[in-house]
Amino acid sequence: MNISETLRKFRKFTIILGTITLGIGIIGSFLPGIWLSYHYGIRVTLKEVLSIMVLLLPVFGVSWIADGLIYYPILGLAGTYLGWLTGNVTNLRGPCSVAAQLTAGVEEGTDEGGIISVISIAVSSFVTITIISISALAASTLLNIIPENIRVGFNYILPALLGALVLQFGLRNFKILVLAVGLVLVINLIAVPYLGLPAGLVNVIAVIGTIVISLYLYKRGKKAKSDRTSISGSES
Amino acid sequence: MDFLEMRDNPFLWAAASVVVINALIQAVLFLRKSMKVASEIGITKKQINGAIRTSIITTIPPSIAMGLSLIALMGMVGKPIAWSRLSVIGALFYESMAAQLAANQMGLTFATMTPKGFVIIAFVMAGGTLIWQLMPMIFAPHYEKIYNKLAGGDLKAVQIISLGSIVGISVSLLYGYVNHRTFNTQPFWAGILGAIAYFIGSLIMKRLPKLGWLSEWVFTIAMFVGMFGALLF
Repeated sequence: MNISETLRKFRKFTIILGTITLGIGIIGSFLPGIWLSYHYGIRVTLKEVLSIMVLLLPVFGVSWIADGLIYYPILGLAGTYLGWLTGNVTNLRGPCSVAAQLTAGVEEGTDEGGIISVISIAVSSFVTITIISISALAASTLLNIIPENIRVGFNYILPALLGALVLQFGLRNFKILVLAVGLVLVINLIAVPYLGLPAGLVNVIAVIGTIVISLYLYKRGKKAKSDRTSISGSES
Repeated sequence: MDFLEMRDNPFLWAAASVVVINALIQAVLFLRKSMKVASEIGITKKQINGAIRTSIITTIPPSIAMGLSLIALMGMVGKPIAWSRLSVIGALFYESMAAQLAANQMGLTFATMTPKGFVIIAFVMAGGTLIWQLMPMIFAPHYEKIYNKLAGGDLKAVQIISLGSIVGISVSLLYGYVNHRTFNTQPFWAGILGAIAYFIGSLIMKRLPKLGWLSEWVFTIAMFVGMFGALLF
């Protein structure tokens, strides 16, 4: 079987498995509520639940809709199905996937990158579930063995990772780094306080803005180059 | 009907474990298939092992942090639901906010929680992550189409999109850490130190090619330098 055939089959497998498991995941999320409702003999209306969920909209609404699209380039197709089932994409799976692709020396956005992404997210998922399960079983006792300040430190691995990622990828294309930093500053220092941009939109606009603008600049540069070559071509 | 007892009911555990088991099965199936595909498209064992190692090391500290936060969430919604939500889709920030908001709206505290309140909280927690999961479930192939179209078959464009995405998100998230109202500068230093450590690490790798075997570890080491170095500030 040649490579493109392999990838084509994998893509099909991915979509089927991903769709089914996400579907089960969604239904499964409601099972505790459904069971509790049945057990207590309490009926809860959609209106009651929605009236509370509506309060979450300002904080999470944009993320709910946009996150899948924003993280797609990092996660890849299979990584997307995996990541959104296992959760913690923003604060763990996304950066983890990138770090793994970096270590493996594969190019992000390619088929190889996609495969490494799947492997890394699947493994990450096992680790999280294992640790959380151990925590649930052993709870306070085991974890209190770790000294307080080291425990605090665990929260810092993500910013440390992000710092290293920003440097690594920023150096590959300095213009994109400058663009991203500029955008984030403009959004946070001007758009949010003075133009009333909702805080929930900050990440989305930063990412989409960076992608769109750098893509536009690249394509414009490409077009200018090809215009120049065609002009010089016709002159000779 | 002792409400507290409900929190540790075996049937509730069973209901809560469906999503976890589902996630495990999905991960196993994807892992097996992707390993096969990896060898067929020329990814080496060394690359895979490096990826797995990085993934494990990157995941352990945040997962331990999540494990610690499990205790807080347990106090709100009991072990089964807390375990289920934190293991898979759901992060402490979202779950505790959803649970707290729901309780407040109903004029309850977790000490005075009623069965009906508990049921509503369970539904609200699930309802929030519904859209997060529904969107990729329906649109993932469309996301693929959108990005393929944007790139237009140009490999360089693909790189730019990926780079833009990674750098854009990382910078935005880093800024979010710095901008907290808690005046805690440690995350900021973690980012700076991580970046510097990585920079120095990669320079050393370039100058001393004999230490090439270490190059896979540079990233990991940089992360820990950042993480522990930040504690000094």
